[in-house]
Amino acid sequence: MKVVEGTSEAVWIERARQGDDGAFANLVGAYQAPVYNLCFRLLGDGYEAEDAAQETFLKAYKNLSRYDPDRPFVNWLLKIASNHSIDRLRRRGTRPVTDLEEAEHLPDTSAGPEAALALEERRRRIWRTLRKLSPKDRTLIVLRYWYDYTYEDMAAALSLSSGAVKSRLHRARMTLAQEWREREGVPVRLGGTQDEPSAV
Amino acid sequence: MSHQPYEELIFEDEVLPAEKTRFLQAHLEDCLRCRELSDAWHGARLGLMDPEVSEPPDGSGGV
Repeated sequence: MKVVEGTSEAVWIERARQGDDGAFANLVGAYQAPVYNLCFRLLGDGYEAEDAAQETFLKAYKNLSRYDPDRPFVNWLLKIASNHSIDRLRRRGTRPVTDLEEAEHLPDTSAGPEAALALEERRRRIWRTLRKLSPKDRTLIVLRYWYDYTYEDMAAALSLSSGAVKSRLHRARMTLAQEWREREGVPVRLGGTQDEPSAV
Repeated sequence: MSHQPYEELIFEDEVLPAEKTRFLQAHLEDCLRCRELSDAWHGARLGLMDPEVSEPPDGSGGV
């Protein structure tokens, strides 16, 4: 993730707070990649992610006075992006994602067609598995494994208690494991509490 | 019996200390349910950790 050096970032934020649109444009330029990528990873649709990223920066612009300079600016932006994407996922309901799940984009064949197809299959499998999660649980998984967020970061980003983050992640991992296994054609025995003898 | 303590060890992101590894391993040898869960989570996590899988495709915004 590209992060701006602290000094220039702090100057841009302060100038943007005073109404300098050019300074805010610098912040947009610096952070559009991580914001767009998070929206894309949550929404799975390039066009919707572009729209969500624009909305994120618009909300940030309107709420700059509420930003706490003691916290990383990028985390504040990603919190806005997460919440906005979650709202979109909730409004979307069960409508499927397109780009990532169905891999409508052409595979990158630079590593050879077989490797490209294998990568596309892995992408499809992960995204179909992630779709089984609620928007908030999906966001936790994405922030944890693709953004290396700590439990404290996740709690702050989604306005959850650390206990709620822990229990939601546990549930999300259980769902992912079950779905992953079922896509191999072998369901996981998650319902029972009785041990079964080892096969070995 | 509750599988919760073992599930938490299976889902732990950090490397387990040797003592906890032995504790979990002993359970997995006797519990097919947790062994299957461990294998499935291992596969799902490897998929999640694949950097190419999480990358947005080229040409979808270019950032």
